[in-house]
Amino acid sequence: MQAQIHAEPTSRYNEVGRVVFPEGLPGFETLRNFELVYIPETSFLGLMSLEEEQIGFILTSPWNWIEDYEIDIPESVCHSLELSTEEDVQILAVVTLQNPVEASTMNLIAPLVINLKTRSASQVVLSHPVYTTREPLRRGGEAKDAGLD
Amino acid sequence: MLVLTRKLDEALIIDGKIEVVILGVEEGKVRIGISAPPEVKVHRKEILEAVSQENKAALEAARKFLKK
Repeated sequence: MQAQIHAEPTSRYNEVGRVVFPEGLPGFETLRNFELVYIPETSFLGLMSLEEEQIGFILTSPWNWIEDYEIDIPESVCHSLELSTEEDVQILAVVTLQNPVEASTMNLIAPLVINLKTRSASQVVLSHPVYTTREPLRRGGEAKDAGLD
Repeated sequence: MLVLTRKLDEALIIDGKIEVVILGVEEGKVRIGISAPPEVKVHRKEILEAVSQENKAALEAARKFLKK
């Protein structure tokens, strides 16, 4: 099954909690177990390693910044994450924070795809990416609303 | 590392399930066709490296923020 997602899927599952990356993330292949948490009063989530407490990533939903964001999840990923319906899918991007925060970027060449039902996840390196690894966080110039100032 | 020579339209079979075909050769560029089962991930190496680098940069930046 190839899942083409045009709008942010609404989910009946809990967005936050434990997630497992069976293959780790590029550059961090040995880390498997993470806790996804909300960062209060911001547009961001934290992905904290349960194996190395020094390791934590800041994530955001691409739809927070790009309303018409689209992703074509490769069939191989649907297969490995056992994705069968859009309802089970959560898409998040890894944020590289900058000072000032309006200069921060998100990596849309390799979004995180999470199966909320099984809590299994993967950082998917897209073969024909439309976006870059450093896509500006912009929402009509309202990056200040990110809440990290 | 295995090094071998292939001509246009010739192929390699890897592990009995991955086929790599040389589709075109011109001006220092090689076009390659790859047929592999869905569980086999094929990436351009420089893109995978860019993602790895960006993950490390993101981690460094996040560390400063999360310490606050």
